[in-house]
Amino acid sequence: MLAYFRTFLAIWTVILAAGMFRGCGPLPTPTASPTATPAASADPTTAAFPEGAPVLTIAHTNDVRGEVDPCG
Amino acid sequence: MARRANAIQSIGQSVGGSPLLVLDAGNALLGYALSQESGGALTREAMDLMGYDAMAVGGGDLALGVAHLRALADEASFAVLAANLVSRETGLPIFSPYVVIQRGGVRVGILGLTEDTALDQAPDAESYDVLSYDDTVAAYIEDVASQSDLIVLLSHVGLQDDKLLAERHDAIDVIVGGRNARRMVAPEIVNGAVIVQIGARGEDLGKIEIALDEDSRPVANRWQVISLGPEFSDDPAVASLVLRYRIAAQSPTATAAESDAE
Repeated sequence: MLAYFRTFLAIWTVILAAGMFRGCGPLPTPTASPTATPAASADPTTAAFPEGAPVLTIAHTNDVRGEVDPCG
Repeated sequence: MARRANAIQSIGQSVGGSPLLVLDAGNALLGYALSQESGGALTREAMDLMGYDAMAVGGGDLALGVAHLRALADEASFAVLAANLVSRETGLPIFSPYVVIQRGGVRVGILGLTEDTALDQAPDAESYDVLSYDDTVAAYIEDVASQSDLIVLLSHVGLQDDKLLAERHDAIDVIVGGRNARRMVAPEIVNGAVIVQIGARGEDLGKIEIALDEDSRPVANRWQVISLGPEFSDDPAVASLVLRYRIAAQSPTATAAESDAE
């Protein structure tokens, strides 16, 4: 019986830890002003741009499937 | 979603006055429980807030019907594109085939394609057809090119077919693709066209920078994968929107609009 309980406890510990790692938890309380964070990212592919050339930037996504937050 | 909004906002701030487009290559609106329960309204509203300019139709976006997506598209401030999804009765496209967006003096033609199996999940599939990718691009590309400095194919047909289309149609400059949910680490370059695809489930955001010559033609490009981890804080406007829909979902008699009014 105790073994079952320990297993049950271990499984739930792992599930909760995974959830916390993914940022799941109570909904954040929206704040009044935007809090932009500098982009943390992989290194961009490198290419020399001609000096002073105008640049068009495209931000893009695909197959997001209605993602709301890491917990769905 | 709220992290993505913050990341897009950061890119907008970093480019300053230079032109920025925000695009989605399909399967955007439905899937996760809360978005599905809202009939895609939550995602549509969030994409409006994030400043999306256009999305391609993916099969997953049609899971509640072509007519349902058509109604969502009418409410959206971004273009919903599918040149090859047509009415079986009239042969005409149900969604806009393409859009030309002029930004910072650059005219960008964006042509949308959906996949050949797009109607598999649609409950009203019998009224529609999906046409050949190649024939559809051939039918529209000159028209788009005549109005644009640069052509983007916004495609949910998959990487292999994206490459074939790039080989066959010289006018395509960029393909923002989807369907394979492939997290590319570098763009594929085919016949001069830059092809990108950025994983799935909103875990990453792609960023292409294209240097232009004096005729607004591309001369060089850089691409970056931005991982949307917890280091990104939530955008408050999108976080509030999600909260409103969560409250409405927990109170079956209240709509999200009513929650907003409270």
